[in-house]
Amino acid sequence: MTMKNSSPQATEQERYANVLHWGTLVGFLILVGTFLVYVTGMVAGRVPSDQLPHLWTLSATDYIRATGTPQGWHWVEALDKGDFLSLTGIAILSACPMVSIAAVIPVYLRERNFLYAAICFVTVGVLLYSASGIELLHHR
Amino acid sequence: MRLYQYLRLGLLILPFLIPTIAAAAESASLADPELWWLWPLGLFVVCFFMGILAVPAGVGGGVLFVPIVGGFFPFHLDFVRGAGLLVAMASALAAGPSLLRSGLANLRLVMPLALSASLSSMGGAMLGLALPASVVQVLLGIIILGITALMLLARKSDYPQVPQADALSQRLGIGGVFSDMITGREIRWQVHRTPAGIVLFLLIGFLGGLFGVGAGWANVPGLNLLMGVPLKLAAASSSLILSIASASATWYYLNSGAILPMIAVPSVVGMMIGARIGAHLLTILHPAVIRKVVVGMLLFAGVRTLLRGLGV
Repeated sequence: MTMKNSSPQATEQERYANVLHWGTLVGFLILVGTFLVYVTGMVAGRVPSDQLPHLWTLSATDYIRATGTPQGWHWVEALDKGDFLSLTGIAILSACPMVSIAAVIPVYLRERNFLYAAICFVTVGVLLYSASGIELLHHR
Repeated sequence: MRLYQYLRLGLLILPFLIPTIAAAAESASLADPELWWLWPLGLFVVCFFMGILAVPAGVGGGVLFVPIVGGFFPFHLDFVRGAGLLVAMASALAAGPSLLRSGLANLRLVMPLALSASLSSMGGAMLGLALPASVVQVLLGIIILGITALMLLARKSDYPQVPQADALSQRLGIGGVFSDMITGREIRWQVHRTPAGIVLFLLIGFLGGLFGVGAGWANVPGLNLLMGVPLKLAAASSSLILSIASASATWYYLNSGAILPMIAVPSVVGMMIGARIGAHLLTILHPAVIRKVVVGMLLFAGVRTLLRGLGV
């Protein structure tokens, strides 16, 4: 099924679609590539794979306590370990909506559609806040 | 055609296959820790078949993933929900570009609702990781049974009548014309009850973040029945809203250490490959039959999750 959009919103939709397409493609390739490197043992995980069946029955809090897994963005410091390297693709995929929304803000500003530029700006702010891990610091 | 016949057979025995795969992987890996790789392999196979089912059944991957994997695999619900969010988000991200280019998804409709849903989605994720697992499990069982009822009872309207667009949607410029290439009809659409829609998406985003099930099951009825969005436009725009709201919650799970790549990645890859095949199989599978299989599986998984949460 295909449909044709005859609304004057094609520019913003096309910009969003392009950024989303490339971001998702890159994220997915990195996700699969880094996981293969991890699962085949080319880069060992911080937590040995054969220990995982005893650990993934724990809650996230207990798992972190038992394995000393870093929270927040500290996982970036352990990218030499396969399990944390695999998180790179997940982080890129999670960032895709934020980057795509940010990419259409200039389109709205050019059209002087300040209402939608503001909605996009606030949404990017919410996603940035969520990505920052600041909320996690409040709960420690 | 032979491959399709094998796939059909696989789908029919899927309800029996999942517990068997989970039990086999568990006993093998406990007997010999070197066999840990059976887990990601088993997850990949199960998610591959779930992905095939999800498309013709018209449900998102997350809503199948969380109750089924949470019910039959030994992973803690925290990790299952983290992976479920990722499964829901990745599928929606992959579909996004073509839905936008074809005009099936409308960005001006999506953005205000996505802002609302992403705000509450993070709150849902925070509460989900703070509550005891048994409480989340009971609530999840109830919500899955609710979704099953919604699948059985919800009405749908291809082109809802919206006599008058509300003031907010007019101010936001939501609406337009699209031409359905199948029917050849030019359809002018507008929406009403936008403020109520924004409030509803606050609730939907919260539930999606709390349970990690995505929210397509609620987005589509909300857009279609409440706001009067044509069904095809509602289904496509729902996917885009889901990708944004899920990203907000996924970041919280990621930063909290509640996403294990060994669980999440095989699930995402299996589901995405399965969904692509499911889309191709639409012509030879009977959606009504598939929908019955999915409703049966959700019913079983919902009851099982509820009973596990109650300690029965």
